[in-house]
Amino acid sequence: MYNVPSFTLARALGGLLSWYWRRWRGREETPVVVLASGLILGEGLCSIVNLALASARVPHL
Amino acid sequence: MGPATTLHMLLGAVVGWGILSPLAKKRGWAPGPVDDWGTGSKGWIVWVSLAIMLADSLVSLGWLVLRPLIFYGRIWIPRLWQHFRTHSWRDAFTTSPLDKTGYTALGSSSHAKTSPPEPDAPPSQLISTRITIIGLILSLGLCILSVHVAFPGLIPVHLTTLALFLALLLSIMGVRALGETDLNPVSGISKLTQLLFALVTPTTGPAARNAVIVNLLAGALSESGALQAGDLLQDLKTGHLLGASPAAQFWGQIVGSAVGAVLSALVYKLYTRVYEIPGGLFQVPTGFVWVFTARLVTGRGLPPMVGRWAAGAGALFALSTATRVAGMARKKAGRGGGWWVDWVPGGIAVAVGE
Repeated sequence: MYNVPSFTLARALGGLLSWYWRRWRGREETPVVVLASGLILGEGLCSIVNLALASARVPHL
Repeated sequence: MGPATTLHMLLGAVVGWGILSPLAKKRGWAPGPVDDWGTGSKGWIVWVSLAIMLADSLVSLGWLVLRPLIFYGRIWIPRLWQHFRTHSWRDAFTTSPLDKTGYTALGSSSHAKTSPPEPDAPPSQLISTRITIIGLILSLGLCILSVHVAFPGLIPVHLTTLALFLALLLSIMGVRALGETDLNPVSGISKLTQLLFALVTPTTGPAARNAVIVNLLAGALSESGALQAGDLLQDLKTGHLLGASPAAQFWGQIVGSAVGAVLSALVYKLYTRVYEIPGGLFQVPTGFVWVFTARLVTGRGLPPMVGRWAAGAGALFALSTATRVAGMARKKAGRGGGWWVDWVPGGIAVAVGE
């Protein structure tokens, strides 16, 4: 409830996407799980890159 | 995390930011800028969410404790009653109620009939009891030592021991909940520990200065214990399903934990040096929830009007969680009518989204 709405909206979008995939398209859950893991991993790696750039005082976009 | 949970989270966000926050600001309960944790509506809605979390964890963990008591009580209490009635006092305490001398109904032991047990790993691959006990004592000692090295003079040893004891108990409950529902109720567990600790920490007198810190430390010990217990459980179960050796997994987990502890401390220092925390990108709302809880249970005041809104929200979600628990039990027992369970919002999902 106290998380910023951008965070919660992103999660709700992900949940709806997964629902759409399973209910309407009727496909297996595995590709969605793999996609989700990939997104999380990618964000984690990027934040490490961000950290390295920020510590080198590269100006933000 | 299925669509049901995320929609509950959306409900929580809509209620929190769309309804409660403007209400608090307009009525003057939270007059400061919205972004401010102290006087702004952002801090105000945290209290409501806290009440929901506490209510939900009390109900679900309470049910977790109550259910086996009811289940086994239903079997054992009639048996014990009959044992004491049919034997003289002296015999009652010398013979065991486990010996079945009378007739027992045919169906009484059939509830224990389940599918044949899955094959366990061979004993050479299991961790012996000796290693478990020695490891337990060593790790508890290491934990107490590190707390006293990192926070010297702030928390008395007996309170650290109490926190560890609570952590052991509560992580068993958390692990059961995780196994049954795939959600580890760690936030609820930490809030419960903070609540319990508020009853034992002195809030007046010279030791009261550190009451908030003691509370935070206790909550941290129990939450991390429950969190790691849950993670290790999932790894071990996956290993069991794949036929991996539990002994190899155990030693791997020890190595991993040791490396991870050092690495995460280093990365934390790096992050705090580079970014300004809290602020901007890193709002750390959960950190503020912890501090608010610690301040609340050690007797600092509440912002205006929070008391009744939080109490009302807590009562509402205690009811809703109880309904969900009942619905889940019905679903599991195979009786019809479990379709509405997903539509009832669960407290933790609405409050936190974890």
